[in-house]
Amino acid sequence: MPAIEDPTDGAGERPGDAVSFTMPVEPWRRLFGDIAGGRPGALESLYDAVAPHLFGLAVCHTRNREDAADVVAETFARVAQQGPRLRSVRDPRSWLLTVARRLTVDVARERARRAAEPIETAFCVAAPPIEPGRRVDARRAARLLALLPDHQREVIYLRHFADCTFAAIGRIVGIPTFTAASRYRLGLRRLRALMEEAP
Amino acid sequence: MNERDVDRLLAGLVPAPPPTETRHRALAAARAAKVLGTEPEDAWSRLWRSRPVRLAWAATVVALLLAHALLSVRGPAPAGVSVSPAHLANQAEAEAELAAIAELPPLRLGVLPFIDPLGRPPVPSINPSTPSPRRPS
Repeated sequence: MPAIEDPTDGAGERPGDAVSFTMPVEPWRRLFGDIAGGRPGALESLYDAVAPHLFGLAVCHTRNREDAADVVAETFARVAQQGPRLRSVRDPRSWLLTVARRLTVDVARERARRAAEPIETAFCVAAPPIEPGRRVDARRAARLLALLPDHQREVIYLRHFADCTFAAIGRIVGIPTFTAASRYRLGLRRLRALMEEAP
Repeated sequence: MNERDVDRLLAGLVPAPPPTETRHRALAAARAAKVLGTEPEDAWSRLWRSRPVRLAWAATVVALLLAHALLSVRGPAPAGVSVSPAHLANQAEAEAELAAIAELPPLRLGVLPFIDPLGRPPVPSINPSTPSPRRPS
């Protein structure tokens, strides 16, 4: 996890802050404030913290790595366009996921130009770098997740890999909390059935 | 096969990393968007975010509430308002005219309508001083 660096302005330096996707809301808001204030390195810190999560979410929907990369780039363009308004974002992490999801849905709708890639290449999950031995598990999980309906896959992804609560998932996807929980439960049930079919 | 197996499979896995060149693309897109400028805000958002406008709105609401409270406490206007005699005379004349219109005398007492909507025969008057109703010839 890279620390926020501030090479030019010592007043804004906060050596204790480390940017990670799972950090609480306040450090997120500070990071958004830094981006709004144009602090050098803030955008890079944001990228390192969120890019894999946004990319994975986009791959979940589009099943195309190139489209997903477009979504990540466009999400960052939207962040920069917000300018000072970033300071008024209450929950930056959910905001980023919401923006990325909307862009993903748009891309998936208008995509007639690129076909979905084979499941073997368009993984939305991966083994952690420190555990390369789990690559087989990651491939298996990605393959099984790809067999789920989109709406169940995205809820499972947001819950397991983006560390979102059901309330946050509801806000991001635009559904009631109960529906998010219900989709998650049905998705897990389907995943179990798929695991039994193809152990 | 149970829920634990699914959890075990998913536990510890991480989102797939984007291709290396995506970092450069995303940051370049962000810088380009920043150079092009922020999205123009619509008028309502600008108004909502403007502190002076919000203060003016709050001040207006407070002033209206105060005025309402003040007028409610003072009650109706006092009775001793001086009015000119000519105005009073005009007003009395108008009231008399209104009273005359409201109390129109019947044209012909004891005369029933020509056609009874229910087809009943004419009923003689109970009051002996009143002439009996007459059928039109």
